[in-house]
Amino acid sequence: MKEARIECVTTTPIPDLGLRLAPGEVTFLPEQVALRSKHLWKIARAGAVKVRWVERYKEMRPKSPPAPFVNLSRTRKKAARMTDSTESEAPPPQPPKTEPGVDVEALVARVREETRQEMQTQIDELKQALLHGVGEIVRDLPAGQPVVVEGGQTPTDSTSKPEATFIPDDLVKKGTKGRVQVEAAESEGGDLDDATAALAALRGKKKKKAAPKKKGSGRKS
Amino acid sequence: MTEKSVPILGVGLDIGTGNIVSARRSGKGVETRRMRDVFLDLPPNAKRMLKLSGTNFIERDDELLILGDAALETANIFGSEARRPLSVGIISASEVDSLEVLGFLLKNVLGEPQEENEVCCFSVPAVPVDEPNRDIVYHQGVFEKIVTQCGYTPLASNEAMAIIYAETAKEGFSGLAISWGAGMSNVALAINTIEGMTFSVARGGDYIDNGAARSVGSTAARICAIKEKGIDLMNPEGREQEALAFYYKDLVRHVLDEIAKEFKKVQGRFELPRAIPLVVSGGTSLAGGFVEFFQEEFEKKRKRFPIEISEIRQAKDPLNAVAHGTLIQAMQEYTDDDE
Repeated sequence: MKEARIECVTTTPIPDLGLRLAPGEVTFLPEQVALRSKHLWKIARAGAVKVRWVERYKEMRPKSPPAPFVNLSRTRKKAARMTDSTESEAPPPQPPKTEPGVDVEALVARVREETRQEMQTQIDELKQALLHGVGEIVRDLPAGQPVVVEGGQTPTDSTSKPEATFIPDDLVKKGTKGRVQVEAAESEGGDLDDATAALAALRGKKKKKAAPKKKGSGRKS
Repeated sequence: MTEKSVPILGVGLDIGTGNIVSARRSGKGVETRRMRDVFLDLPPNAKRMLKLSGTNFIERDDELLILGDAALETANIFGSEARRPLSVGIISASEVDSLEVLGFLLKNVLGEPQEENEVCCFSVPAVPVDEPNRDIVYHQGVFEKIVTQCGYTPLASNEAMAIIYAETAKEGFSGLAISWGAGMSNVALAINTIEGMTFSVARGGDYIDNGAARSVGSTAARICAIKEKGIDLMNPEGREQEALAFYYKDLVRHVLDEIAKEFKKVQGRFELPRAIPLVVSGGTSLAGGFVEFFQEEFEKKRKRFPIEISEIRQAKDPLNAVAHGTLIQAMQEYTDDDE
């Protein structure tokens, strides 16, 4: 965009442009406006102003939004301006440097996995703590209420003993259909014989030392 | 005609969180029968599929039960978790459903008695020192009943004491035994068969599996599979094996600390006439380099350890040592009678 740069030499009004310039003051006018003015060129010929043609370009970047209005006192305004000026002098923040050859996606996946594991561990710990807490509460419950156990027995103990002493009768079922695989192996019994003989000898010695008792415990049927 | 051999009576039974093992004399050898202590319950409509795949199962009222190793394999196919009748070494009263399963397991592992009321000596854990609220009264009661219903005369024996019987004959049944099980670790100190101290720690192989699994974001079943496939604790390879080694170290340190603590409580009540051997056994001790690994940790604590240890050794058959020890005790019942 071509413009006329007008620099004032002496104080002179330019009536058809409605300007009044002080010495040293510079102003710019669009080319068409400057060419249409008769008074400007008369004054320029007289040497009261200097006119020079310059080219300027419009800034295409969108304007930044206006700063929010803050009602500040003069001293604070001054301080804010000073802070702005120091901030503007500081170099802009640099993006984090990445080493060449680093797989960012793999890194993200690893961090995600580690975080998941950590969370899982924390959840497990929380569960354990909760179970322990519930167990403590149950243990500390006051005695009194009898617990009815399956099988028709009613123990005299209360909830303070979590383990009931009732054992069902038919633990080994007879005539069950199906097959089960059992791993069988045979080994030499030399060590077992030695141990049995040593044990028998040891017990024999003990028996001799002690007063003789009636033998046989009636274990054999 | 061949002469019919006289059967040697008595059965040993190791009831663990991971495995159930029975042992009995057969001729000049020892016959052991083992089943993994796990089960899986499936709906009746899975019957056809199980038959096609050749999986052994038993039929219960309204469901199918797969027991032992097959349960673990099938659970992997179905993407579910196999259930365990025991938790941290002890049966819980709330697991009424599992009692029946334990009945099936024991019946199959024990087999039929050779004579009516044959003695069956079964292992029981000691009360865990780190969980004093738990006791073994109900646990022992359940197994006494099951063994009786299988046709045997039950005889309960401490798990770690069974290792003393099986492994320390040459030292006159004196030693410190540690049974590294899946659910817990049992400890016994004995002098000439006399039980000086028994206790357990509620940590075992499962503690290692769960801890390592949490650390590397895996599952306990997968970690257990890695462990059982074979791991060298002295030279772990990869994240999972390293995590396993860390938890092994933690367990060993914890148990050694507990032994020192418990021994101090009874110190002065009896004296050890000589240095005794320390025997390690159990499925958790099967990991490669476990003895060296244990020895390394033990040496760090040896100066402050209250018992003089002559040597550290592993049981000859760590998976069956408890069953062998209980078998010796069961056979002794007949030897005593015969004398």
